[in-house]
Amino acid sequence: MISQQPAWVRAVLGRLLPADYGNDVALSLELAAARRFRGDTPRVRLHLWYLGQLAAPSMILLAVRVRRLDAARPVSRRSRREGWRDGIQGLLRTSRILRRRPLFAAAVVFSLALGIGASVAIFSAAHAVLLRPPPYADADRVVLVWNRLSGFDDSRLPMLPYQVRELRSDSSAFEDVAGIWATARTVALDERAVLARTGLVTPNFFSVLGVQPGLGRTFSENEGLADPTVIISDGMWRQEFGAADDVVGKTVVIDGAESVVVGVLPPDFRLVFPPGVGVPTDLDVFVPFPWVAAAEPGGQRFLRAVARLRPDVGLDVANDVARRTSARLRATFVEMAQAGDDFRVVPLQADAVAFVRPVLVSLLGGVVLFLLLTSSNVAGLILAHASRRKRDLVVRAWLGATRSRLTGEVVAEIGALAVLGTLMGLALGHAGARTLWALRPPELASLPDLSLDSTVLVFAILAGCAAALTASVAPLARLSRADPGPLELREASGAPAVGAVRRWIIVSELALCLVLAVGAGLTSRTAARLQRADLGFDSAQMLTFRLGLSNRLFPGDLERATLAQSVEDELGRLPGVTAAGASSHLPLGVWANWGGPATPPEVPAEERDRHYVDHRSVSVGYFEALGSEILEGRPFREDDGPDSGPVVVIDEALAARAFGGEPAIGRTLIATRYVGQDFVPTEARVVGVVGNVRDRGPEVASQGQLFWPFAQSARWELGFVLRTEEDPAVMSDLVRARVRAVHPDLAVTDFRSMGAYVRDATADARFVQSLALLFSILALTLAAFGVYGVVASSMDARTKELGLRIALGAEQRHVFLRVLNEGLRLGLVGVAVGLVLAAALTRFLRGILFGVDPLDPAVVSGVALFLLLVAMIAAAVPAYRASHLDPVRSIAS
Amino acid sequence: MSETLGDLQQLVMLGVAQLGEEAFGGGIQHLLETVAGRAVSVGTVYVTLVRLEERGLVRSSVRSGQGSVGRPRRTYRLTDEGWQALTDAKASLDRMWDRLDVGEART
Repeated sequence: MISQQPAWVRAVLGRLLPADYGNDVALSLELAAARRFRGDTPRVRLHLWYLGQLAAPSMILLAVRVRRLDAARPVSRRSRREGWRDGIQGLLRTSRILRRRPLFAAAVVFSLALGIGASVAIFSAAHAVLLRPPPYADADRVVLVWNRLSGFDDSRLPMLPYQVRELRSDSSAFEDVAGIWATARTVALDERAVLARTGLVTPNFFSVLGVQPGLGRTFSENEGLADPTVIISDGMWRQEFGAADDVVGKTVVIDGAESVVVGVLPPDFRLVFPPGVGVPTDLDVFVPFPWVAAAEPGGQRFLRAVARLRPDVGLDVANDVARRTSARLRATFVEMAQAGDDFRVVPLQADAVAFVRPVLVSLLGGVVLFLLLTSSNVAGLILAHASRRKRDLVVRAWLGATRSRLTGEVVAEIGALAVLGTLMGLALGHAGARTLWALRPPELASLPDLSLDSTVLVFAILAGCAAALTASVAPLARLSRADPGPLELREASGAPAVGAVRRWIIVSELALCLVLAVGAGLTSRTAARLQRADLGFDSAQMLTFRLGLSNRLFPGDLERATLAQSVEDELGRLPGVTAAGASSHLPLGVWANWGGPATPPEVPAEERDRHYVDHRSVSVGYFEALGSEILEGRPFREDDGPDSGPVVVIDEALAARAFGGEPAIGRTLIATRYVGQDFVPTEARVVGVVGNVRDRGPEVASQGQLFWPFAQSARWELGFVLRTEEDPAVMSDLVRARVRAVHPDLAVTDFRSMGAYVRDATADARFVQSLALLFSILALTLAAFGVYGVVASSMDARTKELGLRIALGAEQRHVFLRVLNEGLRLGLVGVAVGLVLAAALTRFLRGILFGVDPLDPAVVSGVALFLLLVAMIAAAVPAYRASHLDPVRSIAS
Repeated sequence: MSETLGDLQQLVMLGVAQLGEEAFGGGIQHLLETVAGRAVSVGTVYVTLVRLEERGLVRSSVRSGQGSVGRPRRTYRLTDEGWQALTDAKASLDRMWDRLDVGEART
């Protein structure tokens, strides 16, 4: 008869070994005992034998080694069915755990979704702007060739037509070189005239861009020599020709000349030039500029050059050719030597988005900071959660769960949350990207609609993985240290104070948040400064429009001047209009600038080209209508006509530049005047000095402006400004009718309030500001939640200790202050680290700031104080809870 | 597998090989005691099995309980490497024995 195995053997083995080993060993022992002992053996001997077997060094060794073996045993050794069962159990356990802690799960998913969503949105916008090519064939080979002139700040200047032709003649680097000039032409359509945005282009312009027409053909090499021809935009074709298929071959009257429509451009055609160079993205009509007109080396520099590189030629070679060509031209022509023409080649796409690059780089920096913040936030949450689960994990490890299994569980939990968070983040990102896209500056209006493409998707998923990975490092590291042993079980029941990892999480969250918030503060200040910047005129209640005075329809200077004066008088009499005036170039307008030298006669002729200033020709009522300040002398009068001596008004900047602080009134300047359909250097007397106007945007100071009376320099178009008593928007129809009443061939277009121009000019800054604000609000939300979560969880862990303190007579106030103090200390360290980071990083924002120091004391101190407050509040809530603990319950817990 | 097999390891593996499907610690210990005349504790047998498994010479699998023993049991079998190591060990012993002239040795 076999003697009975004592019950305690199995119990001890169950503790010592995993279940399967425990069973086998128990069974083996029973077998061995059966061989050794007969049924009548005293129980004591049996107990002693079993005790000896279990206490044997080999058994202890076995307990240790089995555990190690189990941890190392790869999952693949288990049968597939077991694997599935484990997987499903894991999922069920995961969902159970998450259901039990919905707040934790929601917080993690929310954090990840926010982090990924914001990143995706920003990255999509950045991607759409930076990485998308223009709609040209082999767009990477299309380059812009800019001119530089000595003594002129602008490095994106146009060329003489002759220079474009010369550049074209050297085919070693360029397949072809073309030029464009954006201007306005009056197009007569069915008894009405429209002022069309017109591109005057060399015949090869479209082939250089690599654009195929939607209908008809583009220009041929000798275009513009015989009968006038025109190519129209898709928009013009739809709007003015009802998208008629037979439009090719029809005739339209442009500036009085019958022109044959030879082609229609494709719908996605757009021009991609940097803002501020005078080439808008959309033009209505294109007319050829024949190459024969480029035969002479003189005239105005007005062609913006675009070229196509040979397939095997790099930018450096092209630049060599460009430099060589300009050097040769300077050596040949005195005028070019004096002006210092110097060409350089830049990639079209890169140049067009160059102005927005500092913004995008700053934003991408923000994305990185934000993702880091998200990661540490999630890590903090998971750490807090893990420490609550630690007792559970340790007990399970004791009961035989292997470390790989527990690790798998933790990874499964975090993985499930990461997947959820990533999905939500993608949805958020999609919505966010659309919102951002709607807020984009008008210069980017021509970009195709934004879509979330595969790159963005990959980025989001990588971001999610990165966040989850970073987040799981801390708990996994803890788990790997959690070798189940008596020590661990003890530690699991009573935890230390805010641990080092948690402290670092709080500090890094606050520091990252501070950097983002300082960035937001700086850009907000910039936007505010720009919007409040003194433009030199009052933009409120002002209607603007452009009027075409075609010099073919109205060839005489006097004719155009008289018409302009009649329109101004007519509009000035309109009810609700308090002042009317006009200038050849509206402030903040997008059209090509008019520049030329303006110097006192004593400046030698060869130095004159170094004194480029903006030229304008303005009506008698202009200064009053715009609200310019007359600093010295007088504005123009009706008697400043073609027959009286030439006079100019100059701005303060030019007065200082030309006369160095001496009185300007009565002095003489030689400047360029448009007269007799040509630009002629003319000596003129200064009759007035007006205040500077920020003509190119609130952040760009005037470099000098010179005004001719329109009657003495009658250009072919005018921008009108009407000071109105009512909402400017309602007056456009009335104005249109009055203008037509003056002359039926007068074309008007672009009715806009001056406020709209100002808004466009500050759109960049407002775009950046809204993004930065969004970022910092999100960052603050995350950081506040994060700090709260981490402090609260460490209070949770200290419940027993705090309960004990209260039981031993510690005052509630003391406990509260103690916990609060801890939060505040961490807050201070976080803010200090953040300040150091901000000092190092905000320098990179300099490019997008205006009138604000990168370490603006008001912004930095404001943000620092605010963050401290947030940290304090985040710590105060758990501190309050801790101080109101029920000591009995907390110690028993 | 450069490490040679110990004497006890060889015996345990031979036990695993003989027991086939039913090889488990208790059975092996029984064989060692009754056939090989070696008294070893259950713990020692299992530690040896765990070591052999770590070296990849035996493989264990958990079987759900059957019959009167209604609990899962871990059974062992030799892996290919295990067979190889065992036959190598035997071959090296045999070679040594073969070189020994039994009659000479006795004088």
